[in-house]
This record gives sequence, C-alpha cells and structure tokens, in this order.
Amino acid sequence: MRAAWRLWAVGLSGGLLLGLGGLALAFTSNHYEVSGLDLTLELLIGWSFLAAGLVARTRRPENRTGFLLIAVSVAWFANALGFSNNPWVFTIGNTLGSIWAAVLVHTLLAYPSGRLESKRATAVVIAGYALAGSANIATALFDPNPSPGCTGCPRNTLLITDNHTAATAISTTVEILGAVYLIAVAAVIWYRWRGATAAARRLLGPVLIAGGLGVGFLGISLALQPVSQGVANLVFGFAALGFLAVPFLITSGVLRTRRARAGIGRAMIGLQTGASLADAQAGLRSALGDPEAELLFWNQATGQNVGIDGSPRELQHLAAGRRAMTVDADGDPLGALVYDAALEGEPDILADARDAARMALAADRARWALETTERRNRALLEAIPDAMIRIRRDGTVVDWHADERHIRFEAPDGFIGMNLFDLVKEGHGRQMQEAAARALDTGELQTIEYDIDIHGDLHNREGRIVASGEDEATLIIRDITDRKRAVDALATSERRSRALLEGVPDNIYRVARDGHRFLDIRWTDASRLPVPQERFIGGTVRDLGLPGDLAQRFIDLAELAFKTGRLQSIEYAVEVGGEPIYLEARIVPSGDDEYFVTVRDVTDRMTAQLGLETSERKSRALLAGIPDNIFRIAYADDRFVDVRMARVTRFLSPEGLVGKTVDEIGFPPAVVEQVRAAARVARETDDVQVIEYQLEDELGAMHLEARIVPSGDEYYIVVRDVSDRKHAELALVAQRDFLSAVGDATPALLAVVGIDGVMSAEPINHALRELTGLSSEEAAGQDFFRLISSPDDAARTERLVRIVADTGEPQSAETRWRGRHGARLVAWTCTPLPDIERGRRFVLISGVDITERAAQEEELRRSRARIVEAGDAERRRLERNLHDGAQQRLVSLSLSLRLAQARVASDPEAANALLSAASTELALALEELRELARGIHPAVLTDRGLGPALESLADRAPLPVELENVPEVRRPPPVEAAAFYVVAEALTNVAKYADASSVRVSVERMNGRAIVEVADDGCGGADPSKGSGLRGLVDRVSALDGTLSVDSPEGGGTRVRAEIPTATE
Amino acid sequence: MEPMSKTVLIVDDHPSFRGMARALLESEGFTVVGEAEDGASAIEQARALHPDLMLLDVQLPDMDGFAVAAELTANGWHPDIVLTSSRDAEDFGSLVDESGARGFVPKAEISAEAIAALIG
Repeated sequence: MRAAWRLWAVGLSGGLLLGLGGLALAFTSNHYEVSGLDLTLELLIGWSFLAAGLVARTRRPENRTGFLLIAVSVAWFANALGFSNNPWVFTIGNTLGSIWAAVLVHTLLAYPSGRLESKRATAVVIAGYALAGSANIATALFDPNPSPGCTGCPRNTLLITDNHTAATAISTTVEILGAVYLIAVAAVIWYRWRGATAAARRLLGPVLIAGGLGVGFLGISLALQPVSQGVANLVFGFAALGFLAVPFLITSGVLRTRRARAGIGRAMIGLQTGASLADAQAGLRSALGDPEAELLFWNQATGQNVGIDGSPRELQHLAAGRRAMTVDADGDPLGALVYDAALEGEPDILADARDAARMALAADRARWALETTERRNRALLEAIPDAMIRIRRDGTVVDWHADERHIRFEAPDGFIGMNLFDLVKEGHGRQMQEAAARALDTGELQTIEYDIDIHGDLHNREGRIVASGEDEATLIIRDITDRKRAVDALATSERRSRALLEGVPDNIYRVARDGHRFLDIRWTDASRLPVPQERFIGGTVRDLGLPGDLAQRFIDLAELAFKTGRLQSIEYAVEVGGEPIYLEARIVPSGDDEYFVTVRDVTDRMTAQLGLETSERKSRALLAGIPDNIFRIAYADDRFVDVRMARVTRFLSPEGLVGKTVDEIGFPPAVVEQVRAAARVARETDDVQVIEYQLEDELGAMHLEARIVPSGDEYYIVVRDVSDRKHAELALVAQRDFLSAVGDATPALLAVVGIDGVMSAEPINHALRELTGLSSEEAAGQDFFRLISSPDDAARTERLVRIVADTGEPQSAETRWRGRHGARLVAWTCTPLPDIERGRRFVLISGVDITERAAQEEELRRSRARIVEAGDAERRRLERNLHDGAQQRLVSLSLSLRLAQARVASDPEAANALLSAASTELALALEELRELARGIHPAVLTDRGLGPALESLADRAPLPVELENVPEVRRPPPVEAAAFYVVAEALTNVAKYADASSVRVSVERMNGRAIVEVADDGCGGADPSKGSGLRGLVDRVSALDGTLSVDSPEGGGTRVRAEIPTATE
Repeated sequence: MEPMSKTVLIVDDHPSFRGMARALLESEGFTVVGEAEDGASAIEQARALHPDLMLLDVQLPDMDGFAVAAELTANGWHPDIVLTSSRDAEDFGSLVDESGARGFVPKAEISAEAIAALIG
C-alpha cells in the first residue's frame, strides 16, 4: 500500500509538473501560436497515458505495461520542449519529437504483459526507436528550419551546413520510411489480432484495434504531409483520437477483473450443486471466456491428471498457447485447470477460477469416496459364503450347501435327487440348464441372474455355474436382492439429479450491503419459500424471521465475502409445510455495496446423499452381524488398516493391531506367506481367494479359513474358525484310511457307490482295482453302473441299488463286470452304508469273482448232458441192432418153422430142408446176440478184470497190438471200465483211420492215478473235437476227475493218454 | 371153377422175410405179384400193379409204412393194405387206425386166415 501511495504521489506530481511546464513553454513561446484545442489534446493524451500507467502499475506491479504507458506519457510531454525559445532546448524538443510514437508502438506490441514475446516484435520495436531517433537528427543537420512552416523558430543548433537539397531529400526519405513503417506496424497488429485465441481476442481486442488504427492513421498522415499539410493534419487528428483511446481501454481491461470475478462467482454457483465435472467445466469456460478451458481431475490410483472424457492429460505437453495450473487442497492434489495463455494477464481471475475448480473437484472426490466405501463394503458382504448346489447335467441335485436364507425347502434331505431346473421358475430353469450345459461343454464359468419366490418374497439371485466333474456342475448362488435394489435406487437418484440439472432452480436476491435490504428478487419457485413472500419486498435479511441465528450467519458471510472477495456458501434446512427442505445459498459480492444471494433447493441431492449414507450404514450393520473376524490391510506395505473381530482368539488380539504389518503379529512365516500369495492372486484376478491354515500352541491346533477380498489398494481378510469341521474331517479321514486298509487287504471286490451310481472319492479296493485295471482316481466320481457293470447288466444293477436305497435291505445278484481282460462274472451283495459324506448316501457293493467256478460248473453240466445223451444213443443203437439182427432172424425162424410144420406131412423133404435152414438161422441169431451183449459190457472185464479184457480186445483187433504193463490187480469197476473203453475206442479209431502197422497199449500206476496210453505209428492228424467217440471218452474220464489228451501231429502217429484217479486208494 | 386168387405186393427191406412171406402166402393161395424193399418203390409198384393186397412193413429205410399207406389212400383209392412188423400193434398206438390201412398183423403171426380176418 505504501509503495502504491508513493508511486501515485510521484506520478501525479511529475505529471502535473510536465503538463504545467509544457503549458508555460507554450504560453511564452515566440514561434508557437497558442491553440486551446491543441493544448487540451496535448494535456489529455499525456495525462491519460500517465494515469493509465499508474493504475496498471498499482494493480499489476509485475506487469510492465504500466511502465511503458508512463514512458509514452513522458515522451509525449517531451514534445513541448519544441515550444521553447531557447535554441538548445528547442533543438532537443524538435529532435525527440517522434520518440513517443516509437514508445507507443513498443507498448502496443508488448501488450498485455509489457514484454516483447517474439524476436520479430523486438526487431520491429528497435527499428521504430532507430527511425524515430535518427530521422529528426538527420534532417536537422542540413535544414536550418527543421520544423516545417515555423516562422521565427529559434536557431537550429545541430545545423552543419544549410543544404536545402540534402535536407529535402532526407526529410522526404524519413517521411516515406516512417509512413511505411507505421502502416507495416498497423498490419502486424492486425495480424496479431486475427491470430489470437478467443480468450486473447477478448482481452487484447479493443486495445489492439484502437492502437492499430492510431498507428495506421499516423502513417497515412506522414505519407500525406508532402501532398497536403491540411489533410495530413486532419488524418493526424484521427490518429490522436485512436491513441487517446488506448490508455482508457487498457485501464478498462485492468479494471475489468472485478466484473469478471463476479462472473466466476456466478459460475461457481453452478459448480457446487452436485453437478458433474462436465457442468463445472462448462461453467468455467463460459466465465473465463475460454471455450477450450479444461478441468482435469487427479486420479490417485494412476498418478495422472484425467480429463472429463476419461483420457489422461500430460501437463508438460500442452498445446501451444495453453497453460495449466494445478489445483490442490492443503497439498493434496485434486487436479488441474488448463486455460488460454492470454489469461496469464489476469491473475485474479485465474485465482478465482482455481478456487472454483477446487470446489468442483473436491465435491466430486467426496462423492466418489463415499461411493467407493459403499462399494467396498458391499463387495465384502458379497464375499461371504453363498449357497452351493452340485447338479448333474440333467439338473438332478447331487449335493448342496446353504443356510436358510437361500433355501426354501423345509426338508433339506428331500432336495437331493430333485431336479433343480424344475424347481425354479420355468424360463429360469431353461436358462440355468443352458448355462450348465455351456459350463460343462466349455469349462468356463457361466453367470446367470434370475429371481425366486421364497416364502412370498421375490429374491434376485445371481448364479455362477462351474463345471466340477465330467457330468457335474456346481451352482454358486448369491442373493443379490439388496444389490439390485441399491442399483435401482442409485439409478433413480441419478435420474432425479439429472432432472434437477435440467432447469436452473435458483432464487436470486440482490441485497444492499448497507442494512442488508433486498434490492431485487427473482423467484423461480415462490411456492417453496420458507417465509411469506411479502417479507422479502422492501425488507431486510433480518426481517425474514429466519430460524435461529440464520439471518446473522448470512450477514456475517456477506461481510466475509466482501472482505475476501471470494464467494461464500452455506447449507441449511428449513421446514415448509412440515417437510424439511435443504437449501444451499451462495453469496457473491457485486461491487462494494451490493451482493447477490443465490438460493437453491438441494433437498433431492441431500436425500440422495443421505440415502447413500444410510445404505452405507446398513452395510456396516450387516457386516457387524457376521460372526467372522475381518481385517482390512493395505497392499502397499501389508499393514492393518482396520480390524473388526467378532471373536478374539488366543492367537490374535485386536489391541494395537492397526498399523502393524502381517509379519509383526507373530504368525508362522509359512502362514503369512500363504496369505500374501493369496492376496496377490486376489488382486491379479480381482476375485476372492480362500485359503485354509492352522495355528498351533500347547493348547492345541486351531483350523482357520480365510477369504481374501481385493478392494482397490487394500484387501480384506475374512477369517472363520473351522476347527470343528476340520476335526470331524480328520476323524473321518482316519476312519476312512483304516477301512481302506482293511478293504485293500481282503480278496473280496469292494466298491463304495452313491445311490445314484456315482462312486465316492476312494471308491474301489485293491482287489477290484486288480480286476478292472482302474486306479482309484480313475474310478472316483464315475458312474459304477457304466464304468464297472457290463452294459447288459447295468440296468439290473441300478435297480438293485435303488431297492437297497429305498428299503435298507441288502440285495444279492450275479452279474457281469468289466474286467481288464474281458467280462467277469461276479456274485455280489449290496448293503447300505452309514453316512460317510455329508448330504450323500452310499452303498457298499461287495463281490466275489466266480467266473472260473461258473465255467467249471457249466462244463460239468454239459458233460453230464453228454453222458446222458451217450447212454440214450447207445440204447437206441442196441434196440436197432436187436431189431435189425437177432429179432429179424427169429421172425424168419418162426415163419420157417410154421411152413415146415405145414409141409411135414405132404412134403417131408421140403420140410426137412426148411428145418435145416431154420437151424442155421438160429445159430446166426445166437451169435448176433452174444456180440450185442459184449458191446453192452464185456463180461470178461466184469469177471476177470482189465488185463484179460484188454488181451481179448487185442486178440480181436485187425492189427498187431502190443500190450505193456497190463495190471494184474483189480481196480474199482468204473476205473477199469473207463480204461477199457479208452483202449477200445482208440483201437477202433486206429483200425478205421490211422493206417497204422502196429499199436502199443500201456496201463501204468502213478501217484494214485492210472495212466492209460494208446500209441500208434499211423498218419496222425486226428482232431479230438470231431467225432462223438473221443468226446464221450472225455466225459467218462472227467466224471472220475480224470483227464484225457490226444497228441496227434500230422505224420507222427497218434497218442491218446488218459489219467484216471483211482479214487479208493 | 375156383375163385381167382388174390394178388399180393410184399413190401419189406429184409429179403429173407420177403422170401419167407412169399412162400407162406403162395402156399395158402395168394398170388404174389411183386416185392418192394422201400417206400418209394412200394408206391410205384402199387400204382403199376394194382394188387388186391399189400403186405406192408412199418419200418422201411426211406419212410415208414404209415406214410406209404397215407400216400396211397390219399386220392380216394383204397387198396387193401395190411401193415406188419416184428413189433406188437401196441407199440404203434393209434397210428395204424389213422393210416388208411385195413389193419395190422405181427410178422410172426402172418397167415391167410389172419389177413382174411382183416380184409373180409
């Protein structure tokens, strides 16, 4: 203040002296005719520039424009020295007569900063000074009277020689150069104006136009001087008017700040009302007159400034002619404002704009922060375990896990085996089925939303379906009813806010500072005024009867606004018609005597905000009801930020936890590393991670399950004590291991099968693994009916398991199973198992492989049938032989005897011949009967044993038979018969097929067995499978538990060997 | 004049029986016009010779006597057919009655008297 006062004192007194000095010189001049108009113009121009210079110096000390304006004034007054009668003073005045024009050009080109911004401008200004300084000196060297048309002027003290030609030549050249220079300067100014940005044009325009016109006219006037002094003087008059305007316009520009600041204040009204940053930016653009001004907000996560379009902006790389200033709140960066460089000349406006930007950015961040907290809490809530249902592809529920708020079934057991797709509403069932199929086919997580009626309440559900087996998917159900409602509420409130912004719902009051009386009122909606309308008209703020000390607070704020020059705002609530109305008032000073109060109804915004806060509180309350311990931890340094422990354990106390890192809480390093790793994964995948760990001390172990929920720069750990569950699991595992060991040791085939056929985790024992060639892993979770049952028996097996499941009664069957080397016949029993896995029912299938035994039994059955058949065939053969042989002969014999009897009297000879023939026939019949009887069972075998019987056979054979080791002791009759028939059949075959020269028959005793062997030297190549004779022998020998083998290589003879146990020994 | 003796066709696969039967029947006044050893030739000869009587063995190599009798009596022609066998009539049940033959005589009991009792 002191400096400004001194400046004005010096400036005003200096200006007065210069003016009065000039006047004195003019009135005492003997060569100048005093003209009132000239003198008035002289003083007006000089003092105008001086005053403008002083104002500019005072208001913008850092700006050189004020200094230049004062220089113009001084140079202008220097002209008056030319009125002096003293030759030296006169000569100096005459010589300096054009300098003011050069200083003026300098001022215009340096406007508005007062500094020359380019080299070109500097060159032009230097040229101006050179021309203005040298022109008059050069003329004065040769012209005794350099002031044209001056009679009685004092002597020119610079004159060297009076050379009229040289003087005329120089002055003409100077005039032409001067004219060209000035017109060129005018053109430069014109181009500068044209190339200016909108903001710059608004600031520079009037000054440049007036100055440019002045310079232009001055140039024209110079050019016209040789032609017509009168016209030139007239044009000079226009130039003078232009110059005269310059200081006033500059001053106006300097003073304009106050008006502009009021404009910014009005723009700020628009900024605060919950408006978006885009609205704030639009308001600032309008207030600054800079259509490209940009409001940037500071993204804390990326450390970048971001435009309202969301793209990052580098403040170091702005477009030409753009400047930026950062905006912060107590050192915390909020963003930046990008504006036209021309506005640098208006620091006050920029300061206000910065304030406005700060308010807008801070409001935006506060709103954002609230929404973030809300989101974060909700994310945490959503991470709490959901309902899970395991289903097969067809929708059959295999297993489920949920608490009662997810499930509407009264009898939980009844849920298993039901079809989930049928349980939800029809359209959703199909949607769920398709999603499950997609999940199973693609292996990718599928998300569906649907709603469901639970006890009369409609619930929104989000289902995530993941494939959890070959033909099995898990549906994770989350109740998103609250989220959905919140989204709807947010959307509604957003719509409401938009509607609010559509109109300008402000009531505006113009109030006199003195007495705070209302001067002018504009109501948008007078119906919602908190006090009767008439109290405003002609009233004061105090007359309104505002509640409490509100009126006084208004008045205080108004005074503060005047004092600081800054907008003040206040929010308050009043009641209208019994309902609270939230109002926001902004107080903007307008001049020194008045201020505007702008009142806006912000009830909706406040309601929305309160709603958001309520919802946030609700989330907190919900969180508080969860029986888990929740920790909030910063990713940056793994420090605890917040702790909420529902249960304090002996391992961790909440006291002093906040601020510690996870390394400092005394947990085993492995657990800490496990948590860290899961937190990293959670952040990378943006998904909840679940880990389990164990803490141990001398009192025992505690099993914990932690869910790690990423949330921006922090993560939550939701910890639950699962010791009970874990202990039960471990007990079960131990029991299972024991049973598994027992099961593996038994030769029985064991399978643990769900009643739906799906096998358990440890499904088959060692014996069954050996049989099927499957590993436990391959069998686990697979369908027993399809994997192990043969396809033909699968349905039957499934039926039996179902009966066991329904009745609890064990069931037995013999079915075929798939063995690693083909089907196996298994006799098995299915018994119900106690609960070995929660929510599932199992049966134990225990079997014995009876494939071999069954095959033996089958062979026995066939052999018996063959023996019976062989007996039948033998009887048929006997009957036929009797019928065809002996019987026929006896019939003929009977007829012969009757014929002989008839003829014995009439023809004794013929009768005798008939009797003779009958005798022969009878002998033949007897022989045939004997042969038959031998075929039924050789009498010699019965009477005398195997040796003589074989000798008898050898005797009757058609080729030589060598008997070896023929036993002399008797064997049990079946053994002797079997041995006899083996030899008999073999010898028959040798005679029929072998083409042999001799046969060797041997019977030996070895290890309680009779070894019977018949070997020939024939052609070999006998096939025991062909012909019923050998097969009959096999059956006969097998019936005695013996074996029969035939070795008959082609060309190598045939050897039949029977081994028959001699059972009685 | 002595009435014309009846013509006979003997059908049996055993030659010794055929010879014995021919001698027996001829000695009792029958005229044996032919012998056949199987069913097919029996049918052929019966149709060619039109004998008054056929002594037909039940057990033939190609078809049994019942089938031969059925075949011959199928077209309305009814030769006098007497079935015979070394087995008893009871062994054949109702087959004899259903065959279209006049009756059955066991081989050991063949005589003109037994045949006349059947054919009248």
